[in-house]
Amino acid sequence: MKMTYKEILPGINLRVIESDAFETNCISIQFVSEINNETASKMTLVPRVLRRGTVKHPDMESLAAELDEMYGARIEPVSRKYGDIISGGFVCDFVDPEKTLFGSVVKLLSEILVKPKLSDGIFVEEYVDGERTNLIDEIKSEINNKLSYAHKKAVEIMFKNTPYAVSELGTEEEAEKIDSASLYKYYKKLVCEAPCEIFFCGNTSFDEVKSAFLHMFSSLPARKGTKVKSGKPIYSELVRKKERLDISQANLLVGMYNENADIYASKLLCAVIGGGTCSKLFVNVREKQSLCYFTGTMYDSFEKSMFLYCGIDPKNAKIAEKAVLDEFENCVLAQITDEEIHNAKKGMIDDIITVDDSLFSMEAFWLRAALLGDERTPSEIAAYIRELDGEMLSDVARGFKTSVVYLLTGLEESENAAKLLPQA
Amino acid sequence: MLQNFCPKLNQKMISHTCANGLKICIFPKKGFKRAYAMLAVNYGSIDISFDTDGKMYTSPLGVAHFLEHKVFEQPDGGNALQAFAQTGASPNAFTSKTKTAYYFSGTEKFMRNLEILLGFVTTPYFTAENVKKEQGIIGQEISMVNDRPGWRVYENLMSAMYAVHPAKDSIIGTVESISEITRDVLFKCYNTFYVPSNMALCVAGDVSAEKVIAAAESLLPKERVALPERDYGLEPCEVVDRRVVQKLETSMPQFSIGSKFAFKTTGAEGMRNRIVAELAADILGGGSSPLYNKLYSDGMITADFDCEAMVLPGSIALVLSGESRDPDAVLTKVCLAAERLSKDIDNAYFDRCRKAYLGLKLRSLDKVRALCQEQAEAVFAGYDFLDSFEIINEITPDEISCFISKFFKEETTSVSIVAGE
Repeated sequence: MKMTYKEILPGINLRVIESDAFETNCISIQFVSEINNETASKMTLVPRVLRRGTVKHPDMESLAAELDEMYGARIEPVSRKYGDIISGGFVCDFVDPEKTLFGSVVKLLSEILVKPKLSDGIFVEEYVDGERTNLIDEIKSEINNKLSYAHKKAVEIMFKNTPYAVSELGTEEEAEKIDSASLYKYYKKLVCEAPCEIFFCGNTSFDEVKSAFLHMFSSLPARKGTKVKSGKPIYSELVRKKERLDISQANLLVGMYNENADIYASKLLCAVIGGGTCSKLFVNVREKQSLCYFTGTMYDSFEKSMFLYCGIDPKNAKIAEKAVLDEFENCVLAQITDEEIHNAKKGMIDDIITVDDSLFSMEAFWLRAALLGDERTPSEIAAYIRELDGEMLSDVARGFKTSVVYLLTGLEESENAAKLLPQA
Repeated sequence: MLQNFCPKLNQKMISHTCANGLKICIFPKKGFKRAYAMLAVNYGSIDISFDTDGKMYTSPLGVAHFLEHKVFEQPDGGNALQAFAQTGASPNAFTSKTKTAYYFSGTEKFMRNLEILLGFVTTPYFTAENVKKEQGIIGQEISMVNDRPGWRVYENLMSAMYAVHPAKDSIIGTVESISEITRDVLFKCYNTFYVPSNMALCVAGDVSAEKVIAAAESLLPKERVALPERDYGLEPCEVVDRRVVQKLETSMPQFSIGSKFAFKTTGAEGMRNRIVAELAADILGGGSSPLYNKLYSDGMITADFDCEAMVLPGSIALVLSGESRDPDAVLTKVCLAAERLSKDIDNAYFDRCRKAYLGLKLRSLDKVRALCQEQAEAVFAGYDFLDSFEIINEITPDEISCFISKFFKEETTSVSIVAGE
């Protein structure tokens, strides 16, 4: 596997991993911008509207027919949030049994990106209206997945009134304001000015990929090479919040931050606390105390935040919160066993070095790397993690401050009953 | 004229059947850092009635899933999960309507991990105390999944479509049914189904096939055990309910539309029926179908829409699921589209759908978990997954038309809707 990463035009970086290990090839093109209430919905909508039709393939059905002929190649719109940055674009994958499809796929991708179907010089209103309605429905449907909904609400509290609080879908209110003209204006600015990260992995050389993308951008104005700057996160002081829905299982999240800590030490601490079946939360809160069905932790490298979570019987909320915080406190007090560190490291290193086994893992890993400005390979990061020790983890734990305790619970409950589930 | 395309597969499979009946299938993946192994048991939530000592026995609902939780516990008081953690492997398990599977993936000590996998699945440790504790944990899981509109809409469709077939019941059972599960019930079901002749070991990775086979031969029971007759009942053609609605907090109504028909689902005929069903699902409601594109352009569905074939012993269902403000209008459009396709399928449309289907199957060769899962299902149905690639080219538009013509009649179709107040 050979990797090359270069700026091929001002602000446009191309990363090519030449490999014949897969049946599948992957192309990703992602434009990058600061996130705010206005840009989030637009960044999410632009690729979705572009995917509706081009000058040559004016509707989804004709685009789908073209993709079917390429062994069902996929060109999927995607937007992702990284702290106070948002990326938006397309991720494509295709099998190429006769080794003839690379040029055709890039040509179609280029068509989608730079030759959209227009009406009176702006996006087709019907497409924008349809995708805006879908986006608003998607924002409303976030409530269907209770844990991710609760996490979103907790993040909003932790980063209240800052870009970090904005979701990649944006808000219903901002999405409602978008029309064909305003979205087209944003699109033109995006493709002509925004920094762009292009990724390819497959059986094609860097020069060939570069040439295909230079051709794609040749129809656009020359770029100045602007940069996107990430701002420092501002965290809320401790906020406790309870919200109620008609649900039978409650979700408890405790959100903490340590803005100065090393990312991988924080991630390892996170893994020790709730990273898997040997973590403190799983072993002690789920298995020993039978307080929850699921429990774990999430760490965000851009936010420098850690969330401890569990799904619980609503009446156990108080006892579960104490149990979860006790596990964190044990880390502060350096009560972390060598076995816990060993298990957490093994799981984390395993995850990192196997990034190279999957095209989509590589795509996601290297986009994050580009945005973090961290060009270490998975093997180099694994070597770094191996050197971390328990003392470093306790130091990191001591630097974490609790910012939010969020409980999404049922309509009726008696929290003081605090009864444990049956246990051995 | 139909095109013929059959790209050469780069993927090989090494297979071996042990004297005890275990089928081992290994997909070599040179250069891959992660190796993956799945030990699948041909025992799922539908296997509740079976012949034991000459008598039919019916277990409580949810035993297969309950066993999946309990099998990890070991007689020394430990848990197989901890043993895997020491080697850095990621283990997990799942239960479906038709099977239970235990698997791990890891970057090193593959043989040690395989020993752990084979060891814990064949070392049951059930006590009255640990069964009682698990009832609490699974009770929480039942609460959790019952809060999920996607789960409810699927399980409600199953109980609306199937009158007799145990697919009508929830995979995890109910709070009441799991309270009937005892240590003795677990042992009875375990001893009946957790035998090598009812299992498949599927491995993908840069591993030694000889060592995998040797480990399985040495660690698993040597005896070949006869398998029981299973009783799924005699399912009528008609569905139980044509329309079921559940109120549940959700932003937009979710729906599942299903239509069932009796088919042979084992052996060469079963393999062909499965491919025809999957291709028919793509042609009817896949991403490039006129049905999907019209529904999406008209704002009747969101992008979150699937049309898939669900294969159960002796029955295939075509299921379309998604979100819509008007699921009943979607149902009408689905039935009309099925009627049109049952009369005629445009050859050019058929060709490109078949090519895309082949592309999808080729992609699955890069996904080790999907690959092992496909092969485990194939083993239990009596064929090999890689053989299915040759069949894809043989399928004709008439075969698909004929297949679709059996579905989406009023009496064989149900719609399940989950919507807020």
